[in-house]
Amino acid sequence: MMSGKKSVALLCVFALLVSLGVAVAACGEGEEAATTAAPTTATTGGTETTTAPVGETKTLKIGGIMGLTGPLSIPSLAFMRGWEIYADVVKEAGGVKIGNDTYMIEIIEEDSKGAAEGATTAASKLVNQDQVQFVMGAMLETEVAAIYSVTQPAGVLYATANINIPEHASDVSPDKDLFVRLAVSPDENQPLDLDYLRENYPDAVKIGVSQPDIGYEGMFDRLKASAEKRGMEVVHAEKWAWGTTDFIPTYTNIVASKPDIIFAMNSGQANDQLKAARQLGFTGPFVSNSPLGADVFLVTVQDPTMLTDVICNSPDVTHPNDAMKALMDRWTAKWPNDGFVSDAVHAYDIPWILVQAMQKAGSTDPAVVLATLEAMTNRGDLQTNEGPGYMGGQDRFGVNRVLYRPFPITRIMNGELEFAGFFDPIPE
Amino acid sequence: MKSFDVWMQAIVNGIALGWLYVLMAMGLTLMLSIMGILQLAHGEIYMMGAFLVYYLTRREIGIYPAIVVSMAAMAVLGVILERVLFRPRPGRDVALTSIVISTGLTLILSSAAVVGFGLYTKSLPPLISGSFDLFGAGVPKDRILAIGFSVVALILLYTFLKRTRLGLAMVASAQNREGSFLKGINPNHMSMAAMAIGCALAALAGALAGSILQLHPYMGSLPMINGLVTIVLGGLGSIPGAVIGGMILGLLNGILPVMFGAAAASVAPLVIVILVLLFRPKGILGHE
Repeated sequence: MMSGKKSVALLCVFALLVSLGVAVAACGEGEEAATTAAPTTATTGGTETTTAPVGETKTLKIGGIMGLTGPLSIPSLAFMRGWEIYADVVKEAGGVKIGNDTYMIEIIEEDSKGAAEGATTAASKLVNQDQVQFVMGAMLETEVAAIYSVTQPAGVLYATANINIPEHASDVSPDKDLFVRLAVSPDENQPLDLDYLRENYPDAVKIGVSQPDIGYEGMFDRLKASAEKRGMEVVHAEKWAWGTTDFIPTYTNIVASKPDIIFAMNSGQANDQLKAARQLGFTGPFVSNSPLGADVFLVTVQDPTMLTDVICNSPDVTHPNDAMKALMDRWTAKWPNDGFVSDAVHAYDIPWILVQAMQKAGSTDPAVVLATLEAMTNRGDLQTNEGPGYMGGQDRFGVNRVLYRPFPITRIMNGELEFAGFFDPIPE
Repeated sequence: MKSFDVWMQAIVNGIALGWLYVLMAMGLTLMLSIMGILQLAHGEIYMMGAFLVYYLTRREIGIYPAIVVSMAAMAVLGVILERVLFRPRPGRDVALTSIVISTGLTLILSSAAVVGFGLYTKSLPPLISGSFDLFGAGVPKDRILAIGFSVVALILLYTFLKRTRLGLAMVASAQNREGSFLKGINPNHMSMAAMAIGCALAALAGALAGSILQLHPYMGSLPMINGLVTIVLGGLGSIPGAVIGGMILGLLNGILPVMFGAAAASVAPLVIVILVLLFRPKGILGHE
């Protein structure tokens, strides 16, 4: 039993030393997740920039809103870094030429705190105080709706960075002016994954599906229809509560249905789900169609016996294309202590696409830019880090305001990544 | 109708979860009983303990020695916190200030973790790999090992509290702070010991959970809530009550999602807590 001030003082000194040790242990460690092969290139390809300004040099302010506080802070920070890298690229190139003027890009970043209230405050600040004409960002449907309620009345074009549930009330629609989704529909890759499965696992036809309970029913119906079209069958679908950390209960029922394939629908926790499925004895192909990096599976799941027959739709940072590699180079140079996070790849695309539309329109007027974007419906009209993109969605959403671009497929076999390539979305 | 193996998997998982809740609840109940404070940053200690194990294992230290080191380090951190932040000062309302301080500490530690521990989630090496067959059900070995660790920790704690001078002094201080002070027991030392033990148990729970699940800066929030629910269910200040409360909550969280789906599972534990508070406010084994 401790007694006396002396022993307390000694204990405190010891405590400080141990704490120092803890701090030293924690410092100097590179991030393990999403760490990639050493980049070599130093330029980011694709952005049409100019070093010979013809007219006036101006600054184009674009507002960027992400939830830096809360559980989505990690991808949100990566998004902002992707935007910052784009602004750096433009700056180093001397600006972008739009019409007769040359523009430097200034991204004004605000924290939505992952909530509608914060998103409203952030959007109001950007629109009223910073006087931006373009706002991008947000990952949650509630944030998207809140931002739009501020930007639309102000005549500002809002480009959302993500949608979890296509056709949700907050998604694009013909009655929503000045609103565009520069993010793919998360279920557009489902047919691609099913084709990949048919080709590589022809005997696997019974699918067990896991989905969060946040309104994935529409995407699930599409998955089911796509599967049936290919002679496959969904034998069980299990919903898990948003915020779940332990997936053993969810997968107990899925594995008990004895599927040949498990399809983890659009979830950033697909790595946790893989662990649960494998721990419960499932050995078949496991599909994750979220942007969660295949490399993240490697470093978080670790066990090579679990890391086989895993199919992912994330950018494969170990097999980057030229654009991705250049992006990764810049990230590494700017934040050498933080491993590359692949969300930056999609993030970079957003201001880049906006600028491409402005360049084509020769204008920075939000309405003109949107109209121009809506007409860029041919494959290759837009450049993205993942390959040739275009605007589409007329059939599904009633308006061509959704980004379409190739999806990567990577398979993990015995703890090693096998990059299958980029695949164009299939209309279904 | 669910098959027997599904029931078995759900029950084993529920028991494993329950023991993690017990570890969290033990620390909370010790601090609440002896210090009279609700240490709301206990979940962040759990998170820091898990991250320390992560960094130690990255430096080629085995996971088991790393867990021991982490428990010791968090115990020391607990002593510092008690000494610097939570020790009663003249004219200060202990209960109120502790809530304010620990809320601030929660924000500081979780924000510091985002900055210091970096981006994406991390994983600890598995305690043990694979699963085994239990009456036809595939049961992950790591969950069984986590149960084993938790049981051993609880037995050691129980023995310490019942068989050692310091443990008995802590129990006396918890039962009657003034009376034990008159008997020569320094309440500040008891508080320090309670914080140290509580933080060490949180570190153990964090490491076990981190190995089974994943590590991220906000990983402590839910276990903190579950720890609180456990002591409400089991009864404040009762070790057997904490075990019973943890088991009830764990089994609910293990079985209900499998049997009735995620929505029912998320509501049921809260309903049960409300019922307990309505009909037995002291908890199952709580005392005045």
